[in-house]
Parts: sequence; C-alpha cells; structure tokens
Amino acid sequence: MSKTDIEEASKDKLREMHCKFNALSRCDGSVMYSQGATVVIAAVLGPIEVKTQNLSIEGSYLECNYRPKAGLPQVKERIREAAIRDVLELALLSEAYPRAKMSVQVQELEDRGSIDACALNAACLAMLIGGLPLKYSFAAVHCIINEQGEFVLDPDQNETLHQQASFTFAFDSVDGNLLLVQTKGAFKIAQFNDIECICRAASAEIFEFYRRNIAKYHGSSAEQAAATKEGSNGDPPMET
Amino acid sequence: MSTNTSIIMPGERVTIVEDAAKSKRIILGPGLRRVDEKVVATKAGPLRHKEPNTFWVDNYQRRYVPARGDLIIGIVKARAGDLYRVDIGAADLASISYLAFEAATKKNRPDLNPGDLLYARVLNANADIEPELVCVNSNGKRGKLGVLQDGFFFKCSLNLGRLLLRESCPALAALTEELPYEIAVGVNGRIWVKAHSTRETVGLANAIMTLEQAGYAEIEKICGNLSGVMQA
Amino acid sequence: MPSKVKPRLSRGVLDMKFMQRTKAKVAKEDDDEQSRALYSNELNQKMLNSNSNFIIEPSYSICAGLIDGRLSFRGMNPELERLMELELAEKQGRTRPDQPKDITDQEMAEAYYANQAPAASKTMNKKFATKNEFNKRKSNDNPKSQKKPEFKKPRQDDDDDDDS
Repeated sequence: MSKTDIEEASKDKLREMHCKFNALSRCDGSVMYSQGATVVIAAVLGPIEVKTQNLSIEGSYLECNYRPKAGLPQVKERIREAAIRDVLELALLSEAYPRAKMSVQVQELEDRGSIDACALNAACLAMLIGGLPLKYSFAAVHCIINEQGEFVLDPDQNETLHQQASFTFAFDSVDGNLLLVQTKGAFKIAQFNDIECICRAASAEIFEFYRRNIAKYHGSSAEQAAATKEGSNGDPPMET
Repeated sequence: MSTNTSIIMPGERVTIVEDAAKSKRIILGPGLRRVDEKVVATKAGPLRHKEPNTFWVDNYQRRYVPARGDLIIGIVKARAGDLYRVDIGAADLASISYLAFEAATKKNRPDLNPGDLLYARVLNANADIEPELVCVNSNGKRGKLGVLQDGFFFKCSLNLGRLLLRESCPALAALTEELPYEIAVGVNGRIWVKAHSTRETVGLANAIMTLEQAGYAEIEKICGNLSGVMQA
Repeated sequence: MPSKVKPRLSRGVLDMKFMQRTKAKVAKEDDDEQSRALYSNELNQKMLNSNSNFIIEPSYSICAGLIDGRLSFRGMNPELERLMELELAEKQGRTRPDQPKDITDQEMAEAYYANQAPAASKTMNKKFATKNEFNKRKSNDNPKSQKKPEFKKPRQDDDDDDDS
C-alpha cells in the first residue's frame, strides 16, 4: 500500500531536479541537468564569430544542436532540436549582439522520460549561466494521461508505455505565456486545459529551482539574501 | 560598493532602480535594459549597486564582450597591413594600428609577432564594427600598457578578473606578503603573472585560480589559505 | 489617401511612360518605409533616452570602478611601481606629488645665476641699479670691452661668452 501511496504522490509532482554548472571547461557556460533519471548536458557559446552566410545585422544568429545518446541525430532528434530552437529564439534577446552567433548544444546522456522538457530546461540553465542576454527565462513541463485516464506530471519512462496522450508545455517566466505546446494522442479539450494549469503550476517550481541554483553558484551570502527576499514576497519570477 | 546581493533573473523588473530613477539620473550597467519606462534584467545574477547611481548585474560569464575603456590582455594573431589582429576573447578579433604604440612612427614599427601578449585599452567597441585597441594614452605615453614579456598566462572567468580588480581586494595584498610579483589582469578574463622564478610564477597562478569559485564573501577566508596553496 | 489600406498602383500602370515620375515617388516611399521599419527600434530608444533618467554604460570597469589591472609588488617591476605610486598619490592628494630633489631650490638659483645666465642677471641688475652704481659698473666692464677687437671663429666666440 505504501508503495502505491508514493506513486500517487509522485503523479502530481515533478521528479527531483539536480544541476551542476560549468561541468565543461571550454564553453562559455554549461550545465549538467537531471530530472529523475533523465540526464542531459547543455552548453552555450556566445556571442562568437558568425559565418557570413548566417550573418544578420538585426540580431544574433542562433545555432542549436541536439545530439542523441549514441549515433547521429535522426528525424526524432531533429524535431526535438527544432522545438528547442524555436523556444530559445523566443527567449533570446537577439538584438543585443548583431553580427554574432549564439550556439547552444544539448547532449542527451540518459532518456528516462520527459526528455523534451528536460532538454529545454537544461538549455535555459545553460543560457543563464553562460550570460546570454534573455528576454525571460523559461521552463518546460511534460505531462501525460495514462491508460486509467489519470494525469501524470513529469512521468518516468515506464509510466509512459501505455499513455493515452502526452503533453509538453513551455512557459516564460515573466507573463507565464505559452512558448511551446506539443501534444500527442487523443484527449478532450477540458483535459488539455486542466493539464495546462497543472503544468503552469509546476513551472513555478522549476523557476524557483533556477533561481536557487544561480544564487548558490554566486555564493552563500547571495543565497541567503535571495532566500529572505523570496520569503517576503512569495514567488518573484511569476509575480513580475 | 554596497554588498547587497539579491539575485535577479532575466525578464524580472528591477523596481529598486526604477524608484531611484525618479529622483536622479541612473547609470544602467551590463545585464540591465530599459523597456519604455521599465528596467528589466537580461542576465541572471546578483544585482549590484555603486553609489551614487550605478546599477548592474554581476552575472557569471566567461565570454568577453568589448566595451570602450576596458583594459584587456590580447594575443597577437597576425599582421594585416597597417594593423595587427589581436585575439581578445570576444566574438571578433580586435585590431590595433602599428602607430598605436609609444614612439612608433612609419619608419619605426613596433616589433610584434604572433603569440605576443598585449596589455591594451579598448578604444572603440561597437556591435557593428570590430573592436579597436591602443597601447598608448592620450598623451602618446605608454603608461602601463604594452607588450607583456615572459611570465605565465592563463584564462579565467570574467568574474575572477573583476574580483581581483576591485579597489582594496584582499587577494593581491595577501599574495604580496608571500613574494614579489608582477601581474596583469584583463577584464576579458585573462591573467598574466610573473615572479622571480618559474616555480614561484606557477604557484602564484595556482593561487589565483583557486579564487575562481570564490564569492565576494568567501574571498577573505580563502586569502588566508593562499600561502598554503603557494607552497603546494 | 484617407483610407487605411493604401491603394497600390499595379506594375503595369507604373511602367507606362507618363507614370515615370509617380513610379520614382512610389519607389522612394517604399524605401523610406522599409528603412523606418528597420530602424524603428533604435530610433525610438534613442529619442526616449534623450529625455529619460537612464544612461547606458556597457563597461563593467566603469560601473564597478575597477582599478587598472597592471600591478607590481615589492620591486618586481620598479618602473611600474613608480607609476602606481604616482597614481596613488594623485588619487589621495589630488595633487602632483613632489618629486624627490637632489638639489635645493636655493642651490639651483645660485648655480643658475652664477653659470647659466650671467647675461640675464646682469641686465636685471642694471634695471634695479642706481645711476651711481650703473656708472661704476660700466667703468668696471670697460677694460674688457676695450680689449682689442679681433676676428674670432663662431665656436670660440661662444666659449668667450661663457668666460665673460
């Protein structure tokens, strides 16, 4: 019984998140990020020199690569890469560095469910630590409807085997606008709305995670200051 | 400099700055931008304030973005006609005219070779043109600028460079007690050190690199241990 | 053209001979609109900046008031340390520091009048001398000036000046 209780609890909770900044030494910012057993490494470079064919005088050129755990990227990975790129392009303040290139690399280390959301969150953390200029940070959340018709937030791979439908949402940190919606399977519009609400609520937790880890990276004194600030006015990233 | 360190995230409105702007002119440093009458952060990190009216975000960064007036260390890459191309760690190579050295004339060119280190000032930095450097001040004097001979060179985060260059930074003073040395710190995250022997120079470099992860608060503590690192 | 959607002339019409001037005008309008759209962001920003309380400063060094990063300690590079000292003194006193003197002002003045500028000292003395003294000096000077004039080479002439 106790085991099912834990499973019950985990259905509306995100799996545990961990991150390690600057795991790589030769890029401008990198992060090893895990959500449960799903692990990715994301790295950014920028602003760097751009090839003339991609040069734009209005804003920086964004390059995004997604590499699977082994082998070359196939169609599935290309789709994921395009989705990441679209979200990054929305968040990046590209006009800050015209005639330059921003490069984001995401390397999958272990896919145990919710890889789309995990890759997006890792890319966001990498951009934060790499000092790329952003309009806002963003958080992606994955949620499924299982065969019993229950919603499972941030599912593990074995929970997704008999899913009815799968959803990935990405939200921005300022207005909470939707940046990305990916759905698969059959569902009712009411279910969609419910899941969007659940995911939105979960995104706040991810933003909190970002802030906490950036603060930690900037030293313990900063962390304390941030903690007192958070205590006084609740949830700053969503509030603005 | 005040040490209030509240972490701000990209997109967040910075109301402290907006309030301050109501009564006086405000200088917005890197990491902050103005959207109409709002002040919004573009980078994640502690918000810093310097009296009377300067605000900026002290985010972690390794990539240098040139800004006019910065003192940087560059590596000469090539000679292109009247210019030398210098790698300063930014998106583009910077250029420096052969006339931008003390006592240089058309006949008397400075003797620079690829691989030489330059301690130079950024004369011109603009998103649309390549940065330009000089090795003389406005009086045509060399001052502290110029080629760095011998010594040991390494790269670090921009934050470490800035940390060392704060007025009254305890780290350099702590190292002075250990040995005589000479140092050049570029705000582009490059450091060059030189002491009397190779052994001392390398020890010095190691000691400085241990500061990489130090916050402003921890630095005093680490400085106490620097002598231990030097010996190792 | 009061309507919101601008009526556009078709290319066929614009290519007609009598429409050449209109064609140029339309092309110019298009160009203007494009460039306005291109720079609209920047222009707005700058125009707003001019009357706002914000100044953008992209340099960390200036914002944080960082010191120059070229330093030397305990005599590693004396030339550099001297520059640092000068700078420090300037910052503290806001005045140029006194350079160390090997010779006092008094000595300098004496030496100057004794060796370097006898001519100047004489002319100045003449100005302040009384008539009596002036005459006396003149008579003193006379024997020298009444030396038999003879031709001298310029270089020797210089030496002579020093002697006198």
